Amino acid sequence: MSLRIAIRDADTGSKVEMDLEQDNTIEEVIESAASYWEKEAGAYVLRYGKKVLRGQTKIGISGIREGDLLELIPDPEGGF
Amino acid sequence: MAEKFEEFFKEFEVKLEDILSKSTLSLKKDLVSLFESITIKASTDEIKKDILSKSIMKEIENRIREKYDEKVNVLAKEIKDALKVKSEETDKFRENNTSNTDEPLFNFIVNVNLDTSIFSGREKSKGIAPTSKEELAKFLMSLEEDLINSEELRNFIKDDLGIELDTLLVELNIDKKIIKYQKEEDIIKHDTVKESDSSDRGQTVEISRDDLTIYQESQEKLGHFKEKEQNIDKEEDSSKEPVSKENNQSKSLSSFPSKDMPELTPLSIADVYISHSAFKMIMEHCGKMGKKNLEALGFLMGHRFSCEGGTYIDIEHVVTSDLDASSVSVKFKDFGPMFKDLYKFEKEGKDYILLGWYHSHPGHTCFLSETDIETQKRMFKKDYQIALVVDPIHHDMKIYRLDAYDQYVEISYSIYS
Repeated sequence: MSLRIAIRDADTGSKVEMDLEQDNTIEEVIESAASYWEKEAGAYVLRYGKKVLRGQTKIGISGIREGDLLELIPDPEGGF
Repeated sequence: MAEKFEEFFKEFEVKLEDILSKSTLSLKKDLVSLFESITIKASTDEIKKDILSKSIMKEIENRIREKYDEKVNVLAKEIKDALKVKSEETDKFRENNTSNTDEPLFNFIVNVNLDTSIFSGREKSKGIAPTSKEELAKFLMSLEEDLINSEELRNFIKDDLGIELDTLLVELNIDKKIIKYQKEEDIIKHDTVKESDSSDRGQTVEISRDDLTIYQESQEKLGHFKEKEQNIDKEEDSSKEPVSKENNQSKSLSSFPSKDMPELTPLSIADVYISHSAFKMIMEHCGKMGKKNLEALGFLMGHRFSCEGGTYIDIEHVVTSDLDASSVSVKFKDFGPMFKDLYKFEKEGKDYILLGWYHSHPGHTCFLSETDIETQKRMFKKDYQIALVVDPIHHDMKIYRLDAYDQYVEISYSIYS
């Protein structure tokens, strides 16, 4: 059973809707969203409320429900 | 002759490289020394006749450009300007380019935060500088030292003028021989200035160039302020300026309550506005981590807006989290505390966007390292997104953006309360 969610781009505030399958992984969602906004997938995580989502977690066990909003957040590195 | 030139250029290049590796504060001081060394060299060497010639200057400029690319273009121009005779060119420029003799041709806006000793400057040049950059650099250096180091002046500003020591905006108009002081929400009261009521926000005090010389030379700066005749120049209310919405993610200025957003007066134009609370959080975070010789990291949250064709950003909040930090690198360890804040903003309907990131270089000066540039290129690609770098050990803070060539350029900012 698929579910429709929205993802917000933290950089711009713009949103995109996405249809997900239960066995999709978070990484695949990040890749799709990053690709849509022309970003590099590996450098981002998803915010789901107060929770961080990343990696191979499957949508089915992530707690995400129909109509939920996720946010694409960069994971930067600074160095001297 | 060619050998002499090579020798001169090598020496110049070494000095330049050294200067470029330092912070802005050092850069200004060293720039003055460099100009002085050129002058001395030119007056004692046999190349003195040629040093001012166009071909030599062009050659210097080309070589600098070859080696340092865009970053040094500005500096090369400054060196050229420093060696030019200005007055005739300025008159000619004004004659040909402007009908308004009151219109300033050369301005320099300086933000000085007396509390944190942070200094930043921004040139607003409309034409040819009427006086040499050398002179300007010397003056700025002297002004900076006066403002930051003078306890007497600090006390005067705090006690006699009755304003809190915060960001003081100084506008220097060398061309019109005027220096103006303004604090965003306070008027600098003066003995000869009429007591102002709250509707007079935005007034400035002018001091003539003659006064300026006295100011520079006098060790008794307070006397200067108290004795000289002053004029009041009322700035136009910038709230009447047209404001356009760029798109649905931009906020127009009029949508901000005045208590949250500074008015865009001619003295407060900057690329980046930072709320005092956000600024304080950044400094406290970087300072705390700096004491442990660790780098700090966080996100800059707020809105962007457009005004008169320019895009400006307003950093209203910062968020951070537990860090995986060392003295030379930093990453988020987890996003827990940060996501709690972002979730709270979401519930409050703040609709913040990510305007950039801040991190610190404890004791290593402010700049963008290769890692930082890579991060900026990969994750903060929007033209309004910035990298804010703090050196808590040297009490320095700089804001950068990448240009079209992925070189970082420093940009101006204002802090508001």
